[in-house]
Amino acid sequence: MDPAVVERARGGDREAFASLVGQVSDSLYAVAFRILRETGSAEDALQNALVKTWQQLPHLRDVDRFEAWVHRILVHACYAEFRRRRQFAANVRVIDVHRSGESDGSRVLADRDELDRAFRQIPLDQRAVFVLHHYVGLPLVEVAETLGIPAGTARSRLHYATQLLRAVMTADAVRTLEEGRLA
Amino acid sequence: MSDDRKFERDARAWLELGPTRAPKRAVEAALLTIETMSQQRYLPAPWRFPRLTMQTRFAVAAAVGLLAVGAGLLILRSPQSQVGQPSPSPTTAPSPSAAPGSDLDRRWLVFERQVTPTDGPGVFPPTSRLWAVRGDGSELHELASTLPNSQSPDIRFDGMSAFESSGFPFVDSGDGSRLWMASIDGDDPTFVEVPCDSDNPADCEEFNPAFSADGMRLAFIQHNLVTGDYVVGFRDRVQGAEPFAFTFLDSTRDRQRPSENGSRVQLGRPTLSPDGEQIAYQRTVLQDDVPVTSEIWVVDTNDTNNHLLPTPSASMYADPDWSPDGSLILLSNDSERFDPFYLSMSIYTIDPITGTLTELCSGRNCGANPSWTPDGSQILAWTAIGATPTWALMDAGGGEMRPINHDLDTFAAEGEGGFVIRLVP
Repeated sequence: MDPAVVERARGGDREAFASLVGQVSDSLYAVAFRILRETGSAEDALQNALVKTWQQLPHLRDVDRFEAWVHRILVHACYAEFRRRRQFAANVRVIDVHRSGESDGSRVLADRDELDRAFRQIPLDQRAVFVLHHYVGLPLVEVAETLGIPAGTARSRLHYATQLLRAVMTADAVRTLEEGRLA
Repeated sequence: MSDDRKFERDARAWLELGPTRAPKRAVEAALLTIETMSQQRYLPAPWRFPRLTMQTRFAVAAAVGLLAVGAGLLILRSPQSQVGQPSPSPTTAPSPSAAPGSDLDRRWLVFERQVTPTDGPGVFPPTSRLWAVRGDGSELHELASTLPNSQSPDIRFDGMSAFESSGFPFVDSGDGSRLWMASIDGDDPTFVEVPCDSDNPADCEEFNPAFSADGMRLAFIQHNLVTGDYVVGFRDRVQGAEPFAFTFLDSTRDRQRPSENGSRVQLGRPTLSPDGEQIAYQRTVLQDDVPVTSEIWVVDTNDTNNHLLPTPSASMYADPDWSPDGSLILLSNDSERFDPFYLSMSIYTIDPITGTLTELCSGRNCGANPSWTPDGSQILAWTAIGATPTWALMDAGGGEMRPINHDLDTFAAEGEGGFVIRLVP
């Protein structure tokens, strides 16, 4: 990402902004899809995030941080899109994580659809941390920075998301739990 | 291979599945949208600053807090104050001969400290945090430390602060400001839930809270992010199962959506009259996101008599604060437009009945974010006299700003931003 291009876009140069969009939109869409797990929602989130990026670009203080900054905007656009489509449920259907230790030790890779269903039931804020860490490859400290949350919060969200998915991947029994709120 | 590493490998393999190319239609639609959309040069609040270059940031650091983020200075009234009667200080009654700041030594002051982020994505503007300190500089501690960005505090007689915070890490929060309360002890803050005329509570934001003199009423501005409406509202404490009653003053409702010529309005900075029956507030007109004029309006809390105070047009009158006896409203004014190299502010009073405008001070030796002391005899403000932003007192009739010197001047100089201050009697 050329800081000079970011600087020009920050100054109102639409061509420069279009160039930036060309460089980040694939990555942003990939992240949006993996958080929202639905192509239509991911498209809308991407479009809204790009528009918001243009609007708020003058407020970006450090042009070298453009990519992290735009990912934060995207994650918030995903949150907004998720709320808009009313997919969030307070009672989540999760794998019984406390029974995962009782498996016979053999690990069976869960069916892709089952994993996808389990992932959809994870709260959105946990999904965002999981995707930024495991898909984008950011260290947790950078994930926390990108999302504007404390590092401890990022760690605990990743822990809960990981626990749920691990239980799916060991194919344990399913029971419904009340979702607990994380700090 | 350990279980953890196998899980991570499997998780990454699963995440790799799925689209990796952005649909052209989404990208093209976004680029088409911005063709006719201007960038947001100012954040959507009554007071914001031009984007700072590296060269000017240090020079403007002192000024940032003095003109900070829509917040004003407000001195909390004692619960014993009565309509038309100035309330005495609970420690010593201030007198013209008293050394500047001597009556403040044991008072609590709550202030907003702005710090420009040095790491992270580096989003302008600076992050604001709330701190409390005794007037003599002792017992300095942070309030609401669990919230990432807190500003615009107002204080009740029992030391309870109401303030706005944005960007906190809850999924449903959205990006807007919400109201919180925190005690002077620094305990965990309490969220203030305000009704929103929308299916989704995150479609509304609230900011600029202001207590009534008796602490029973809390005024605020609500902004509906979907419709664009701004409205003045307040919360009353009531008996019964529902401990709070909310009122929204429809006569103050104003829309943010730009008109054909690109102008739009925002509301801010409500202040309650001592009897709690009227609210004065700031109405700012922006052109292409740049504030061009700011007016002061007054409305009765029964949603009648909403009227403009006769301040000169094409000026930036802001930060209204009702005097303890109800006779005057204190105002700041950026009459010379914002200059990042110099603090140039004026402080006025206006008679809400006659409209008589009186200048108390002006220029570099004046102050910003003024507010009354509890007895109405002095005005507390931020001033840039000298190299360090400092708190200062001025007699209510105007004149010289007298800096209050404490060890906190060192603390004040550490951050890149300045401060907004509230005094608890």
